[in-house]
Amino acid sequence: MSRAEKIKGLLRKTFGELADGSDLSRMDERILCDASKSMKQAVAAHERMGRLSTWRKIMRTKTVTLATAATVLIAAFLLVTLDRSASTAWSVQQTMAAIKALSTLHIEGKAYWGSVSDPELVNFNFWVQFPNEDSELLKMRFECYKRIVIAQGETAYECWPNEKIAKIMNGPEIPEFQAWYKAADFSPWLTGKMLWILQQLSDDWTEEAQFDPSTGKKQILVTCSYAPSDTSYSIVVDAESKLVQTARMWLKGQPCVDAYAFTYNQENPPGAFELPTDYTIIDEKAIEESRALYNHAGKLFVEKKFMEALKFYQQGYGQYGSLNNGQVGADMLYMVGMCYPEIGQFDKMVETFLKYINEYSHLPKYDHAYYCLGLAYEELGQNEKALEAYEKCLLISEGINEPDQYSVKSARRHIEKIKAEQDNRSSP
Amino acid sequence: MSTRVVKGRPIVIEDRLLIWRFNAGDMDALRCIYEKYKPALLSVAGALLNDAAAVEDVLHDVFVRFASQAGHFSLNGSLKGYLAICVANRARNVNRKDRRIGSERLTTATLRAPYEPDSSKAIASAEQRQVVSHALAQMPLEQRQVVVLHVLGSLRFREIARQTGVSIHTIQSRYRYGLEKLRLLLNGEADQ
Repeated sequence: MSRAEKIKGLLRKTFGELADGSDLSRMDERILCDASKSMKQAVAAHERMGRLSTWRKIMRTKTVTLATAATVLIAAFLLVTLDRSASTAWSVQQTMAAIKALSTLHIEGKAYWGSVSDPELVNFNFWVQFPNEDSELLKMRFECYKRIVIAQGETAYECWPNEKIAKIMNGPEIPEFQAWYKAADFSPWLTGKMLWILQQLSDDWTEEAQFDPSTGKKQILVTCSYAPSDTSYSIVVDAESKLVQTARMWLKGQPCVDAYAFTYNQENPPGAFELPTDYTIIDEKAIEESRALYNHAGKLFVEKKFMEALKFYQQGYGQYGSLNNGQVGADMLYMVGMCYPEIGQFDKMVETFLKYINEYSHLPKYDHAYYCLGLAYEELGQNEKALEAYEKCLLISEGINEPDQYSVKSARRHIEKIKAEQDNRSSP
Repeated sequence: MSTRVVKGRPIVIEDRLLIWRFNAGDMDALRCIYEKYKPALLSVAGALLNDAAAVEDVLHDVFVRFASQAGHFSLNGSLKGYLAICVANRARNVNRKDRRIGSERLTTATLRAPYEPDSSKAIASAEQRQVVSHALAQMPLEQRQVVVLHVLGSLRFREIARQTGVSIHTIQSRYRYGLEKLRLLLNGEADQ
């Protein structure tokens, strides 16, 4: 034994036995008790921060700004048609009749989006399909160039067209959205709260009769403001139909929304309230459920109850295979593949990772699957196939993963080992 | 059947899962991590401090601090490496503090392992520990840390280099010189 080895041996002998044969229960108890308290506090604080930051993020999103603008317009529209019954121009019966006759609404306009100092002018479209005999759902679609929000009854989808991703929003069930949905009472846009605010607080309401310069038709120009949000409105109502023709909104004295065209009872574009089929839907509720299942299976895996873990991973793969662009299913299937070697079924491991590669090659980390496939083949004595799999792993990783990344490094090591074995066999 | 796959890959998976569960607030995960790495961390702390109370305090501080990161803990490298480096850093701070207040803990310490039962074997091992600890205490701090982390913490040089932000060559030379220095200080003790 070399001197260095002897020194190392002495160190290990001297200090390596500190935890052996000693009663450390008091120390363990003290450390775990304090660490548990610290952990509980940290997790609670993290959850609070998470909720707050999500809410802040939501409130900062441009979609919300635009949705709020649309809310105001719709509220103003309802205000004009439903309220002011004292005015001879709009009796309750007339407005009720006007509302009943409506089946669709399309608002087209421009909105200033972004910071107050440097706003960006964007075009938006807002379609409404009122409940009718075919569908009892109120459907809405708010669209600008970056974001589309589609509401079908209580389910809303926030879509990112560039990324082709849609996020399902089940307002009453998602804590971050509860306040928003409560305020809206039904949807983010058709908000009773905003209507109520305008009804109660708009104390500078003015009406002025005028004639449309292009058509000569009689119009009523309504102006009002809502002091708490420093917003002002200018709404033009057709005297004959009692419906809004144009609407403008100012925020802090700066133009904010210019809805220059209101179209009623026109057929909405086909599929306006449907999600495009090529969108990936992010269903947060299902993701939450799948995460719970994955964690449960993971716990069993750590406890080395591999058969039980396998059952849950398989269930998760079957149930959530395509969720979140396949990411959830990929994670589940990967772990299915990792359970098989634990119970000695390397042929099933091969089968699983081949399936993984076939189904989830669009995901960024599928090089790991090739690495695992190589391991399984190697265990089965199929070194040629193993070599092929390892090489594929390196090929995919090139330029993506760090050279010392686990799968890359290990794949390289296995390739060297297999080649060395082959060389040994071929040499006389 | 070879156990290479069985015993190799799942270790990585296990830590990943443990950290995931730890971040989700699972107390069992914290306990698992503690039980899994306690022996190695005790060895590291014991070699760097050699005082039962200080060893326990260091381990306590490291785990409480680690637990306070639950919910957002992310790891670059191995969990064992991270915890071992935390223990080494904390032990270094304790030693510095002791030197500041004039205590010569390492040279005059009682040199008993934590909760070591009294027996002739224990006394013999305590004596041996005294000699080795004395030698370790005379080594430069950086060399002692690398030797302890590599030999007792089973950390690779690459891992130590990554966690401490020092180049791997420096770590390797510190280890080499450290081992040589220790050999001279022990003056043939290892050969017995």
